[in-house]
Amino acid sequence: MDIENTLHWPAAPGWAIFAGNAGKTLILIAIALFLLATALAFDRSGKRSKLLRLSFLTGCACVVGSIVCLGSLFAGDQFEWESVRASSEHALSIQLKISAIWAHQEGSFLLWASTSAIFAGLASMGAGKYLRGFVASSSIFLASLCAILAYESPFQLTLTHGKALVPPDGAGLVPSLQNYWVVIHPPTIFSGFGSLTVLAAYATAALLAGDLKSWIAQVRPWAIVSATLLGLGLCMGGFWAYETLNWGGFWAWDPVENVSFVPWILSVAFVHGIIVQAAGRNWVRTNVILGALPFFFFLYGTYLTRSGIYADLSNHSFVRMESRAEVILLSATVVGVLAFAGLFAWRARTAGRTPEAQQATGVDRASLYRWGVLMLGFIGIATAIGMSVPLFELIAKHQPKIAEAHLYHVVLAAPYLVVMLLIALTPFAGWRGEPIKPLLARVANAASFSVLLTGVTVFLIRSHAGLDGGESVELLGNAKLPLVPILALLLFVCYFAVLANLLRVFQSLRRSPMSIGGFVSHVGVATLFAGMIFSVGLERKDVGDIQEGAPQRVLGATVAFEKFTSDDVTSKENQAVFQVQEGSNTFEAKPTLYFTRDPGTGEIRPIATPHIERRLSHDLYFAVGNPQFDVWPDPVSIKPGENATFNHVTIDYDRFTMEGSPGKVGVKFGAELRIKTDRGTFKAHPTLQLTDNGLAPSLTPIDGDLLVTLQGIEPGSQAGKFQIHYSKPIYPVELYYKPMTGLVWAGAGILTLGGALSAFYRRKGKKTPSKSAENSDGPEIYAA
Amino acid sequence: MNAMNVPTRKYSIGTIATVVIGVGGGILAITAFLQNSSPYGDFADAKRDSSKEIHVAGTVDKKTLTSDAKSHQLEFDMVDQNGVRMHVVYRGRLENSLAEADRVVAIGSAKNGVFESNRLLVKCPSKYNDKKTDGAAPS
Repeated sequence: MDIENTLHWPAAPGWAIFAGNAGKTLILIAIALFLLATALAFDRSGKRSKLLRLSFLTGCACVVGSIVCLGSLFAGDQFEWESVRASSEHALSIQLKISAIWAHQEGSFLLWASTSAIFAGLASMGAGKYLRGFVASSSIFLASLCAILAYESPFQLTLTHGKALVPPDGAGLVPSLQNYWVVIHPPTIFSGFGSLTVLAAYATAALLAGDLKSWIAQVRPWAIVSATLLGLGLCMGGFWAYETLNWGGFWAWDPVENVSFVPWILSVAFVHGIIVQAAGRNWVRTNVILGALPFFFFLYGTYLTRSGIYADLSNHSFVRMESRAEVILLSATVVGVLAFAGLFAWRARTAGRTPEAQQATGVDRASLYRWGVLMLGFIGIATAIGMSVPLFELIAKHQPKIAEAHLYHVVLAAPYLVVMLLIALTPFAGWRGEPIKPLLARVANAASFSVLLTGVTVFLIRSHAGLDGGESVELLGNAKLPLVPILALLLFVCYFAVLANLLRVFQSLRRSPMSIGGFVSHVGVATLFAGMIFSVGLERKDVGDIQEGAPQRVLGATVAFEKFTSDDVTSKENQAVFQVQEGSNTFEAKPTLYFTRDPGTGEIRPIATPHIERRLSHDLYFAVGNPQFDVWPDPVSIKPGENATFNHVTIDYDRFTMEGSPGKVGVKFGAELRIKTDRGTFKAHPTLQLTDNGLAPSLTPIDGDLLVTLQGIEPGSQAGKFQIHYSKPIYPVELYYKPMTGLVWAGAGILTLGGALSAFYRRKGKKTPSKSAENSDGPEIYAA
Repeated sequence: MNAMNVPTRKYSIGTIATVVIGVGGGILAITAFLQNSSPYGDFADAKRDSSKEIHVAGTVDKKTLTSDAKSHQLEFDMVDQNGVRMHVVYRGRLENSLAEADRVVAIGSAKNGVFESNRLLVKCPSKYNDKKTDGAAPS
């Protein structure tokens, strides 16, 4: 640090010091209040319930107050606080300054604590007879999270010369995060994570209260909200990766993605378990476990990704937590799971005792739900197993392994098929058992149309997507299956699920329009999966290196570099314009491409976002990589009479030249060179002139494709520093053909709409169809 | 309620099938993931079995780094965790940050004394990569 400069830094304003200290203190107060609430929750007399509620809600408010304090520091550019300095800068918009809160580990923990506190606080107000258990379990978790924040604190004040001085600017937000997705995606998905606290707390409270029945009505809207928020957050993450980050896809089974996926799929399983119990069936014990599982798996996943286990095993660099904070997280996870398991073993047998439900004969809706929940649970737990492979190998003291995307596809394909078939069949099944024939008769039309659609799709795939039927997909080992029948099967179940649920939507619109949320969600899920199957299964990709004036064929199209839209290549608005001609169609691909300096290393880095040409039937995804300017990445020093070879180019330095007087403006140093390239040997005479603005190297052509520059001369030895460049930069591009990608986004939207409709319909524990369900048959009885 | 009065529970075939398939499926999933996950190893492992793709983590000897943008090829010497050096030829998308990377994971197999790689995971010391997953990465 330059001491001279820091002397001029202004002192931090009083409000900022107060806000930072207040944020830190509020976390400590919250711990005390949560511990007090936990102690009060064990008072069975109920005399202190007001104090219990007050201490818990005040603790929650303290956590939220803490993130408000942190937000004020980010909004006010208070760079004396380390988290603000490391993640923000003056030039950011106010939205991005606030988003910088969760761009670092400490801030993301505070965001998680805040969303958990908000959801737990809100849910506690309607917890009724479960209040004590709910507050006790929520308080223990929130106290643990606050204890983590006490060590992994976003409120670290940096003192300069022993004083709180404000540096002129911060290091800034990572360029790839500077878009609207960082504003909306993390708060959405962390709201989903926070809402899981409510589900687990209710499950624990139900066990503690010895009543595993009535909690279901109370937890139901929260479970739907959890599943919807997590689903929406996952979709947003996919959008972000696809549209902004140049990844070329929306899902990679990366540990970060899996940590969100597992709680989502398990929360979806829980929502379906609730439906069965609410309809008067058993499942009281199963649902208690399903309520807690998403939360515990998220805790486990958080530990897995923040503990350094993935240090070398992923594209992402996982920052390891502060060691004491890590111990608290691990302890909270292990103790939480063991305590819940112990409580379950102790209370579930008696608390879950219910009169035997009448055993259904034939096929009934509850048994189909059971299979659905089993398959969803399998998908969730198998994914968790996949992401735990490095941990298993570490425990076994074996060399690490990593489960790659293909392996997830193979393992999860079978349960996926079953789930989609159940999505199609279950809405038509009766709660009372019946032979399979009437059920199949109800879905016959949807199934027939699905077969027809599948046939048409296969025909179009064969004729338009360039498949000749000889393609295959790899399974485990060296086993292979033909691609087209596999695609046909995967798409058939999607079509079947969509059509069957659309039919149920139309049937329900006449009787109970607000009850269609579940069916709409199913349509969304199946549409989304159909889009992914098309987009990933039939994706085609090609790469090319485009040089100005030298168009190339890439994926059957002719691609030519045109220009930049800005003279300033550091402008975030700068786009590289390429003409893409496919047959008679031409369009301009305009991926964003600008350069920024890494404040840590000083390196210049390109930041690129793709251009997506959206068509009705497909996307053309155009990604540009790191432009290549230099054949020699760094200048190489060579003495007269010597030579150097690098990257297939040899320089022989024959003679040093000089025009003018050394040290005076106008003096021109030069080097007579012989340069050998793949095209032959060429003579070149690069120069370096001293001007009023410093040293100016000449760009000296070699063979029409390459240039050489003299970037420095050592006065004593006359050694020159030479660098070889391309005469025109090379732009590596990737072009993807992604059919029907629009279905992915349409499905995500429909899924969210369905979730919102369901949550609204089930608000305040609306009556369930249990009575009528038990006594009726036929499709008209079913609630979403 | 007296525990003696609790009727003996009879498990239906569906329940038993659920448990069997759940447990069996779990075992199958664990086996599938453990047996088919991509192994990490060193250059000695790569030389022992050149038919399998392997992940090797190590450091790049930057003095040996050469690239050819037009053929999408990088070549460099890499030193694995045991200090064994091997020449790596990588063909694929040119990595922006290889020159300033402190650690690299090369994925490929050993052929004729050279490690032929088709994917590289680049670990950078800079804040850009560290910050990528600090809570805000797409999930």
